[in-house]
Amino acid sequence: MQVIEVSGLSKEFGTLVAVNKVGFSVAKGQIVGLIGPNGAGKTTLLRMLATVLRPTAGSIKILGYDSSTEYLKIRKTIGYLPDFFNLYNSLTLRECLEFFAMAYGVNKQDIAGRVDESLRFIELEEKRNDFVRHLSRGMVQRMGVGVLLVRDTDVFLLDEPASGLDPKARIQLRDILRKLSAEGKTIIISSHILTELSDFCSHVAIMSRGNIVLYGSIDEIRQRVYNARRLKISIVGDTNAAVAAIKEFPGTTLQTVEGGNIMVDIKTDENGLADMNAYLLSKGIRVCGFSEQKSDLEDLFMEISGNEQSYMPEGGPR
Amino acid sequence: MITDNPLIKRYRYSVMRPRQFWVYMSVYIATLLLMFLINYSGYETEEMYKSLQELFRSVFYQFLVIQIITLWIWGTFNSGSAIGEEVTDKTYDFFRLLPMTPKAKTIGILIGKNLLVLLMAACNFIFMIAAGIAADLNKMLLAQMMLTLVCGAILTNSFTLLSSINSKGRKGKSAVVGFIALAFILGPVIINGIVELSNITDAEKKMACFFEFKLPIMILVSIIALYFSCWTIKGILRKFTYEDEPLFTRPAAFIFMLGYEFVTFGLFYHYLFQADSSQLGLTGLNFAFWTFSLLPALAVPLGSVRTFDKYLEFAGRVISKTGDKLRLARLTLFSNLSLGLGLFAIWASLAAITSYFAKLPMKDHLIYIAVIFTFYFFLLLLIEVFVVISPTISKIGVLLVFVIVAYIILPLIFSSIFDIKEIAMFSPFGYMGHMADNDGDKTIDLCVAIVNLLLCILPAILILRRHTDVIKARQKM
Repeated sequence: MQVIEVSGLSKEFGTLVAVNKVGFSVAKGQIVGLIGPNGAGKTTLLRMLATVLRPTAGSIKILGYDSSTEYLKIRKTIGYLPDFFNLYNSLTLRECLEFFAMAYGVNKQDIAGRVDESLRFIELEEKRNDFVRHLSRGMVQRMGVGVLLVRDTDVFLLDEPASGLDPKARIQLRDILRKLSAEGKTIIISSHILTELSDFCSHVAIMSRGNIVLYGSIDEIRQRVYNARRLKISIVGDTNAAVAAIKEFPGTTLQTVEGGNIMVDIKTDENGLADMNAYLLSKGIRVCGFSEQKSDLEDLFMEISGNEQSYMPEGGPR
Repeated sequence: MITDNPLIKRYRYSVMRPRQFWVYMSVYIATLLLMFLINYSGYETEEMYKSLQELFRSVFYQFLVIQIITLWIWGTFNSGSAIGEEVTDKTYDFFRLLPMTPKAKTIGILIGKNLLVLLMAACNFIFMIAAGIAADLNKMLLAQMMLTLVCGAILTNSFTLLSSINSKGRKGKSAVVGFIALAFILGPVIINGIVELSNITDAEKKMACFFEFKLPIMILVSIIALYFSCWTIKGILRKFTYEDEPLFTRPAAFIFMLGYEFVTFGLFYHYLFQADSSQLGLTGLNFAFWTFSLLPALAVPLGSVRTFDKYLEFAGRVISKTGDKLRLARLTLFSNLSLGLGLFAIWASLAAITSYFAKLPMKDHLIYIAVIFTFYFFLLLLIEVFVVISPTISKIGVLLVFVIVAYIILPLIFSSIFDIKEIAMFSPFGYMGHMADNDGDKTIDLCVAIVNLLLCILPAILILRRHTDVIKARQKM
């Protein structure tokens, strides 16, 4: 089931095209990481999905509701955490969550339970009667997630939720997001810290200059970017003989040789990898290590940066 | 149920906390005690009051002043700062995403933000009524005053809330600053009015005319306040529904203008046609009528500006439908210029018709209308220049404000330096003075009109170029 369907979505500010004819869909339970440099259009895209900004062109459907006409219904079902937000400083955590639960139409008799549940989830139970103004930035960020959890939220739109947090707060926030993903929530999250995204994102959208350059699972993107698998082969003994043997194997491109470690790109599947291993052994090469090097999101992003056009889908941006 | 409104509950949490609540209550109770002490001393020593009735009459008007400060100033300040606070506290995104109806949000702010104000106002009302009855004031007067207070409070509160939502950047500061400025101007007038009112006997029977209907002044004021409150509340609902849209749709702007002209005309109708038709210039009443009726033609385009982004969106829609020349014409029709011109046309028609039926010198009045049009058109062009240039030069507004101030003030300064009164007529204010004090010679009017039209050339060229750019930019997108 597609929870979010976006097609031909554009946003222009004067002559600046912040988002350019973007299209994608997100299925239930998927966690999509939105990555891109500053000014790529991530925040604008999220704000349009959250119905805070009106698109110049295109359409957004969330849970079947059209954002242009049924934005109130969308607002009831989504949870949007802006890139820099605050909560009502003059309220206590309990009062703040009660207010949001009430505004989002949670049944009166359920509110207290939902507030407790939410505070437990974000691990701020002991601060329930403290004022929001007394919370640290990391705690406010967690409270932001709590505000989204206190009512029935199916879709989470999180804009740089980890920015400005210290490492401990970041880990706590990551744990919360992991818990959400375990509960089958659909999440779109933008972040600069790509290693964090690769931990729990099922899909990634790479944005550049208002376009989604690449969209898919991390494996799919890796395959599109590198078009080959990268192997690290560690050998004991004659390195030159090993290099010569590797070069003879069909579909390989030698990358680097450092001591007994040889990096090789190879266009093949799992069977091909097994064949190569057997081939090296048959040539008398003493292999002590044979592993596929999976590039992380950061490597992928750096590979794509500055070369976006070559990855754009045929027929223009999506 | 109003008590189920989440915003009211939120404000109750933050405003009615015991510690905060008792601070306000202590100030209020201390004020009441002070009032009691001062009035009682004045009565005991017979320095201020000769009788108990006189004492209670004075207390009644003192509570009236407190009530005005509570409802019209404190309450209005609260309502006008609600959105600004959301923005500065960085909670505005959460606020606007709340899936509450615009009506619930409006009620939530107007009542929730003013919980303390309403509580104190309720206490004041009780004391007012008690003092009024003790002073043996007419019950109709009491009822009329209560009505005026309530209707005035609805209008001022809703107006500042609307201004704060409508102000660019939604900082809400402009609404509050505007309100403080207005309070400074109107404050002494209101206080003076109350003093006058307290000296009038049978104030409840003083009548004002609306067309040929005679109504008690305070009831008429209340009805008019309610009428404009309906418009401001409609505006609030619209801005909570369509945040990026201008305050008025085109039809609504024209309906508002017509309604405003109807109300103004109704207020002046009875007196307008008693003017001396032999007078050359505008009569005082005519002058006041023209000035009041022209105000929305200036205010509506300013408060309901279509932005450059809207032009781009519109150009995108028309490009596929119309030929090259028609595109520019349709964009001009879509622009703020056409709205201003339409509103001015309504005013000009009404001004001309009233002059005709009042048997005032038509030729003179038509010349005045034409010259006023040239002033208006120049100012309208400057607004349009701001709209089309500000996306590329963000500080153009500062330059344009300087130009407007110079346009208004410089002729007045030069007129007094060179001691030539005709120079002052090149300022809109100077020309207004000229209309009320005319010597019959229309040569200078013609000169003013020509100079204004010459001044229009540069902004008109700029606008034309930018409108063409919009179409070109859209074609490239």
